[in-house]
Amino acid sequence: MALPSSPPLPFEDPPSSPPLLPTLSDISFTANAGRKRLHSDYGSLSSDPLFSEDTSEFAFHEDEEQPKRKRMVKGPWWNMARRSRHDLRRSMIKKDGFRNVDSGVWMGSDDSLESFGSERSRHEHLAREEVVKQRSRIDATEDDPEGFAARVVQGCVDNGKEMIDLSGIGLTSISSAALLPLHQMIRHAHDDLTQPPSEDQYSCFTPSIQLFLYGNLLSSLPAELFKLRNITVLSLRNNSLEELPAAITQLNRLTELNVAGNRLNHLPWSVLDLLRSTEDVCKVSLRPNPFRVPKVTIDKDSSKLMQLDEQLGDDQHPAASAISKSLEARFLRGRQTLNGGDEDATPKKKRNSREQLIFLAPSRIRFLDSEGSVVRPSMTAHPSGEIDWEAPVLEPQSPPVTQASTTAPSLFELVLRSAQESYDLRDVTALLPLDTPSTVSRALEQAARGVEYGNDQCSTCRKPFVMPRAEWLEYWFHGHDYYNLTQDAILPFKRTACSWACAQVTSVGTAFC
Amino acid sequence: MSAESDYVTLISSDGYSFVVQRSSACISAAIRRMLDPSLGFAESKTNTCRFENINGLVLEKVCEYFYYNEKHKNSKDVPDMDVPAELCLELLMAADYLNV
Ligand SMILES: [Zn+2]
Repeated sequence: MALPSSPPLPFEDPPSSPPLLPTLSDISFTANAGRKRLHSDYGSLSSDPLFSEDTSEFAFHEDEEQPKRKRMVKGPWWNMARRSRHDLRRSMIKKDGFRNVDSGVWMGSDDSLESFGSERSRHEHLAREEVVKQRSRIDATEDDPEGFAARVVQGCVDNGKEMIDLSGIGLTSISSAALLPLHQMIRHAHDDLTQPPSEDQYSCFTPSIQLFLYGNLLSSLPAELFKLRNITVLSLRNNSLEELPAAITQLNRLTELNVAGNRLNHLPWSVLDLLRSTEDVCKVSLRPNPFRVPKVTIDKDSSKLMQLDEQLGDDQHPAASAISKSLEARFLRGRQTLNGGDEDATPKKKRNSREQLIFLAPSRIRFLDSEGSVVRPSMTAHPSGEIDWEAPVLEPQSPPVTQASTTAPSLFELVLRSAQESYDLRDVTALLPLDTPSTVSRALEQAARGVEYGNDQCSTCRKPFVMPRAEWLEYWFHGHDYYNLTQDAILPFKRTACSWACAQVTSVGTAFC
Repeated sequence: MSAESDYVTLISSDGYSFVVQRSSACISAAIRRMLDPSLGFAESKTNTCRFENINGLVLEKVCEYFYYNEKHKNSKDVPDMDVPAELCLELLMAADYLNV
């Protein structure tokens, strides 16, 4: 086949023939026919992974095989600049060779692509622009889901679209910056822009943001999310969250919150308030999650655990059965309290269609010193050295004997609070002297987090603090009044306290509905 | 000098000394150990603790904290003690070292 105006091709010496390139005769480089031809040629290249199949699922796999080539040609043009910056950063870190960051073309280091690279990439670049338009959304996002998310957010803000769908786009993280434009979101209800809006028109501007982040890989949430007070629906279903920040309850317009299908083993104490709030009912979906359940350690050596709802079997260990019975008794007592108030008042009857919350038992309290290490009273020392979060404790618990005040904050805490007010703590740990004790740098990181997300609040006196002085789990029954006490109806809430004096567990018999 | 005086002397790295109540200084685990006669440190005999890593300004603040802590031992709604910003890091190190 004649190649009329073809540039000199390095036919002679393809160092290692790249398996994915078509034979050279298949490619026309003529200016006029080139593009169309190129396109159809690509369609016939079944061996070419770039356009032959839905690449989204196989992205990682392919990256392993053809990392450089993939990077060179993947994604729409508007990703190029961003990707190049990533490349730059990566290559600066690795110091592993030179790359032309502007074109995204590999230079020098890859023999197999060197000679073809620039010509091919130019053509593929053109082809890509067309192909990309037909691609599904997931394809377009696979290289830079966060950048895609940021554009979706901006697009929704620009169009006053209150439903923001960022579901299933492979997000592993989302920055505060990406969500920042949502503060500018206004509902388009006021058309006459020459006049200022009246009072009630103004309220129409307040949007009800529905943010769908389900089906991603998020393991943490940006602090900015909790400042978006106009979020009414937040779906975080099927992500990888291990902790739900207590700040979630700052979103006080929420009518629907879904955190099912994450890796939560407990809930922040503030969610209990969300569940029992009587005014604006917020629909909260919590299960499934790998929540802790009350268990009894029967055999300390093999640390064999028995779960409490495997109860009433004859072969059950006496210790476990005693605790099961106590919890059951507390549960029935709580339910009686709730139902007892039901008989004489009809309004309450209506409210009873809501789920009940009945306090069952706490875990052992972890009393912490000023720097956050566990202070273990010798008598409760567990053989493993750890305090068992899952063992319910039925007897009262008191703090270890100390000479320090149990109500006043520690000096360490006071200094951290002052540092929060006086310094920008974001990068403080990088500036610390090398011999800084790890307890100090950890505490400063915690203080920096407190500035970002808001300090934790004492679950007893509600005072904010940097370092908790006590923490424990409380197991609560959560379910309708026809539910029995089973594992699936028990929720673990984590409580923290500002001082040892505030380490007071909920009193037995507490119940809400 | 008797082993168990009601007051102890804390001396900073730059030579300032502060006389404080033993009971309030002993909220610090580090000081408590230094003064424990059964552990046989020199400090327990002289009732004096020297801190090579804490200067006078910082140690003064630490002593202020001892009294603050004593005063608010069992009170509710404890007001925060004032901590000057410029001393933050040094005080944090000292509080970490003394465990207060
Ligand atoms: Zn408190």
